[in-house]
Amino acid sequence: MFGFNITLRKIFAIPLIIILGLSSCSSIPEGHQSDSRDPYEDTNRSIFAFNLAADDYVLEPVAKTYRDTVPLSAQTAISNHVEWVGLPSTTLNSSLQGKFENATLAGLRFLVNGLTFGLVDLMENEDEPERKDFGQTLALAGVSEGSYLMVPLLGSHTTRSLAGRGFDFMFNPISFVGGSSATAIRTAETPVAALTFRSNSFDAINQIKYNSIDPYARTRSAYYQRRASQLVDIQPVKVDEDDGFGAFFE
Amino acid sequence: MVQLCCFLRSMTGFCAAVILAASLTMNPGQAHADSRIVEAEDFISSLIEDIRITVEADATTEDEKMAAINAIVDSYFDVDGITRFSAGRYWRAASSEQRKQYTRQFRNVLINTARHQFDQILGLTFMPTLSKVRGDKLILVGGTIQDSNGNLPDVEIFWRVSALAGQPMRVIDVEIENISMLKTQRDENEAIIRRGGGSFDALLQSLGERLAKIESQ
Repeated sequence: MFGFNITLRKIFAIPLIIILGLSSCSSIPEGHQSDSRDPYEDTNRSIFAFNLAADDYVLEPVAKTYRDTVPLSAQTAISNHVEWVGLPSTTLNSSLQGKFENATLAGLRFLVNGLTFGLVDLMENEDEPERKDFGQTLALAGVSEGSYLMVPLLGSHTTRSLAGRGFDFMFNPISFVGGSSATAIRTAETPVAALTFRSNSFDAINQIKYNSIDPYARTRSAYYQRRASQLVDIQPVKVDEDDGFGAFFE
Repeated sequence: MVQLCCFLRSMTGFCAAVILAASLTMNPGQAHADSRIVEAEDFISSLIEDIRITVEADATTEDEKMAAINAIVDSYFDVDGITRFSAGRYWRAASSEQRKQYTRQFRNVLINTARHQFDQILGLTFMPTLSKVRGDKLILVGGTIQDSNGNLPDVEIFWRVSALAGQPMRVIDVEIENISMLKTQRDENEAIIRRGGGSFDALLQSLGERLAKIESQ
């Protein structure tokens, strides 16, 4: 329980520091931003540069070694575990969003795969639940998305999605287990999740990193498009019948 | 990839037969939409086959390969439309000279990107899943890219095809995992122009630097 309280404090402290830190930065006057959703663009770009440097020196080489040397079956097991850890949050958020079938699927998968600590997907051939997060639940409750935030080591977020992430992190099942082993696993989970993500998206991230004129703007655009697709059943975007490509034919 | 093409051909043949039979009972509008989808799927399978032939061709010089890539891009992509759209709302304000320079530079970037991307398709297969009609001008040809070696996770992809009446079909965008490559390019270009104080020349300069970097590699 003591360990859990410490973790909670850390969870709340990190986003709070980042949000307060950013709000103390002067925002760019409107008209000088490259995107109206990004009032802290200069600060965000500095953090993005830091993240790119971290990727250059640590994440990319480690992800490359991981891809080249770790057997595929082990990589799959690690990916499965990372996904399993997020299932309680998906179960809760699906329920809060009224998606009870998804909640049931996620809950069932969590219980069954829990037999192997999430390392083996025992429900491989069953319907997969859609991942649901607290940022989506906040969107459903009418909370506005806020500003675009580039978070050190965590990447693109909005104020709302970052708050949601902190909440989701509390439902990590390992948080509820005591003992030094659980602490060690909990400590390793965030870097392992980052490594898995970097490894699974290796070429896509390198494409942005090495083949863009402005990787920051490209990352922001990709983030908003991806997030919009995750929110489409909560906040349907009104697009013309040409799928937002009406201007293409003018 | 051969299996993919056989599958695509057999699927499109099958779909064509089904549509022919169903059109006896369906309303004409529905049948027309379905025939456009089949045509668009055929168009994409033909594009993929041509890319495969180009990539696998042996004993071709670099110039011949670039000529083949240029031919594919011109035959299957609406390069003029993509160029205009990628500059966003700043295209209208650009001078004639700026537009010409941008068109030239953007084409070079496009061809270099195509060359890089085409090389990566070896070992990947495209499995069509769901195609959709969007209004009267667009068809989304959807499918999954699978790595035959099993090293990469499946990726969902949509080819956005313009299907204007009386005009040949052309690809205008590729959407991967719900991220439109063209919208991303446009957002990037608009950001560069805005950061450059609204000057189109800022984009031209950045593109020039990017091309110089590509050529030096």
